[in-house]
Amino acid sequence: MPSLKHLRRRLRTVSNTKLITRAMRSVSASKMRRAHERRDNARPYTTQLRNLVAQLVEHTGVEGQPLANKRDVKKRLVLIFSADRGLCGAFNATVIRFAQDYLHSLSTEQTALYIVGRRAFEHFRKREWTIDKSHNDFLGNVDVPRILNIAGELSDAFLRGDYDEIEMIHNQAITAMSYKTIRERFLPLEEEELVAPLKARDRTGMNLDYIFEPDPKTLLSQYLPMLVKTKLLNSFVNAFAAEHQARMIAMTTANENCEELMDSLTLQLNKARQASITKELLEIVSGAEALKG
Amino acid sequence: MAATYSLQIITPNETVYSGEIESLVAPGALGYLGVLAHHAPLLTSLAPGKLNLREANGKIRSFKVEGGILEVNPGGTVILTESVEAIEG
Repeated sequence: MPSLKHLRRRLRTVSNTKLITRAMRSVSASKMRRAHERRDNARPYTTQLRNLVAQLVEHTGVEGQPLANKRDVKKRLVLIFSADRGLCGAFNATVIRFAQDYLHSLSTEQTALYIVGRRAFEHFRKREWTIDKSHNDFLGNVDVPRILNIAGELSDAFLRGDYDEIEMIHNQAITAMSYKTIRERFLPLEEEELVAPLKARDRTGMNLDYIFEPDPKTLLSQYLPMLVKTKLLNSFVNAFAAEHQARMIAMTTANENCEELMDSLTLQLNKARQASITKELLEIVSGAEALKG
Repeated sequence: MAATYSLQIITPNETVYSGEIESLVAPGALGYLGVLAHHAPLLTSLAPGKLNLREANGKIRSFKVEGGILEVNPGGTVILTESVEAIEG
């Protein structure tokens, strides 16, 4: 049986760990809330923009829009979103494995990586793919101006012909307890995706006889870059929200495990203490008996 | 009192302005344009410039916008922009 001293020390260690996991859980919970707030704040803008673009696309089509220009894919850029830090369960492992499986199905020379998150960066820099750029200092915070800038850079690179297709791989929360890794096309934009808002909702208030100034095609070419930015912003927010959620779940589990461990240690400690008291009593009693005899 | 209509100025970050206004002068891509109540539905883009609006109570407010979209719609007028700043005074 472990000594009393040893048990006390372990109990203290576990209760300290529990304090840390609990603090981390609260931090993740509030960060997740903030990420959701960001998404909710961006929603009016995104919805409105998507509706307007959908109407324009229905009106004039996407022909001639450089951002919707499909080319033969000679160079593909894959954006991978991971977390910068661990302690979030299988979050990073899942997205890295998913990305790697997908990358193996592509030609290495024709693929470049763009990585957000230290974890994926550490993994892929030792692998055969080229990393064109990486960001390791978002730390799960949604920095809107910076993300809009990145979207601008990516669109420019696409328009210059540096890449013929840009895809994104990120985790996305499905329910409060689970997330899924998904892959989606970032650029070029697809007509089907752009007109989706027209099918999804009732169309009252839409399809007005707008006066377009200048013509719809020009307007669309001005709106699409804005749309691309919100698309990236959306992915960032989803990925970060999923990260905080995963960390919160991991920390909740860790916290529960600590509690269980503390219970069993306390039990052991009490048993050991009782045993030692009993032993001492026995010694006293038997000593007294011996003296009497 | 002049007729009013509702205006919202929205950025990816937040809804910067929301209220009833009498009139609006915006830096359209083809030159400044004014919008009063009961304007026909209009869709246009904005150039960087100064946006003036007269609120229902007669107060005038100004904003600096970095381009964007202006949608005039019977349901309400909306300005979408990535960056907007209120100008005091």
